Amino acid sequence: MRSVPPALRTFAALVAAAALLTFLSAARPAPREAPVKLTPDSLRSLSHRHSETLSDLRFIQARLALAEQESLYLVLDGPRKTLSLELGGVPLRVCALRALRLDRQLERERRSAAFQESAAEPFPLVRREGTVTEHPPPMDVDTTDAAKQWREEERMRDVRFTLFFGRELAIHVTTNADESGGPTGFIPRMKTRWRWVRTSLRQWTGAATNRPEPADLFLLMDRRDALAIYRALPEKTGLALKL
Amino acid sequence: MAEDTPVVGGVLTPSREPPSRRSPWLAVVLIVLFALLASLAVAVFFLTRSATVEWHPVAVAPPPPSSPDTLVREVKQLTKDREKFGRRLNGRMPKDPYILVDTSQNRLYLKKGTDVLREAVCSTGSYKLLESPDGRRWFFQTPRGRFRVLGKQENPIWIKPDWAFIEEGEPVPPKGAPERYDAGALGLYAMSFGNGYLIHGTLFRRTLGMSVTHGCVRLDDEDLEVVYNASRVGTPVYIY
Repeated sequence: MRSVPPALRTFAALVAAAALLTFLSAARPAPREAPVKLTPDSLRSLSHRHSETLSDLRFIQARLALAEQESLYLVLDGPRKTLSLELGGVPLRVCALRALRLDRQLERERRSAAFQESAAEPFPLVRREGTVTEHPPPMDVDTTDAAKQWREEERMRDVRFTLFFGRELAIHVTTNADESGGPTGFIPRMKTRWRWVRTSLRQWTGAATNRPEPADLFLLMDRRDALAIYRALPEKTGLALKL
Repeated sequence: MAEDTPVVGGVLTPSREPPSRRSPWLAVVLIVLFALLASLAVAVFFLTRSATVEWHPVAVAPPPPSSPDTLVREVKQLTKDREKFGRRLNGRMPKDPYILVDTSQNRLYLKKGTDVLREAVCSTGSYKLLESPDGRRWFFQTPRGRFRVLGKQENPIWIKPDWAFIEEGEPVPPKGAPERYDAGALGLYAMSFGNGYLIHGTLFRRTLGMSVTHGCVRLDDEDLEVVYNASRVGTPVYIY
């Protein structure tokens, strides 16, 4: 029987040792990380970051869900005070808001984690009402008087509309600064206040209900922006909201 | 013991004056007054307190209490997810130049990302309804949505559709008739984006900025040349 050459024996021993070492290191449990110690301040800051990041994430998820569809949709970014018209993830028109107001119910609700979570789902548009016609009046190329009249009508038009979304959200858009604080009529104003009292009482008495309370947002924006947005919105669309 | 109670022969006798008894009417008046004041306060509160509040940043409810380790881990995961989804959203933005048409203000933008490379005054659909004697109808609206440049053509020749003759009150010639071919009406360049709609030039420069077309997007020669040269077949066209 021929003896194994010493070089081969050494090589075999090295391979065996390497295999054994690999096995042993894999078998040994990983060193445990030392538990994180945080001061109350840094814990608060971390909690804040958690909420912020979660809110950002849900907003992006809602936008992505809408971007998958082949239609124009709205994106309302509260911190940036913008209302954007987007299509497929591309912002087509970003409108700066001159004012953004919330009713007291929504103001309270938006602080809750449940509201932030629900923002991942876009709000579907249910119906809309407004003083704006769906299209500008038709115009004849050859009639200069008609063109003048058209421009005049457009210029004088009182632009105000409300978009009603699913999950009881309504967005009231006005271009008149006097109306930016909410409804100006006595009855609608009282209705808004009564709703606020009702929900406050409900919360105070702990009477939980599954029916979501309607929430109102009031936007004051440039007339041209409001016209463009109203006329561009298709019947079936949605809203990504960050407040 | 009350000072005004006389003691006669060691026996307590009641005072000669009866104890004062308040009238029940006073209590009623007080209650009514209180109710009135309360109603007034509520009314003042309702009428003066604004039903809405201006948007301001608020602290969102913190996550449910958990160990710092869990919180750190969750924040890391959320940040990672936010970046991932953010990248996915940003990835939807065209990398190359694209065309954006605002029909409400009759403006065309050549953009790359969020940068505007060229802003041009254009003309878009008139929203006019045309009906032919045989009952056919055309609504001249520029379509809204996402399209792509499907074809590019220099010195295009317009093949007039039926409505072009009906609109002028002329008899509709058969398909392929020489009257249907109109050279020069579309300017130097044309880009089609589907269903017969084009971005092209115009002979009617004074109507630029107005909604007067049959659905096409009209530009003046200079802007048209820039947009034509910057786009290729497949360039996205967004119209709203």
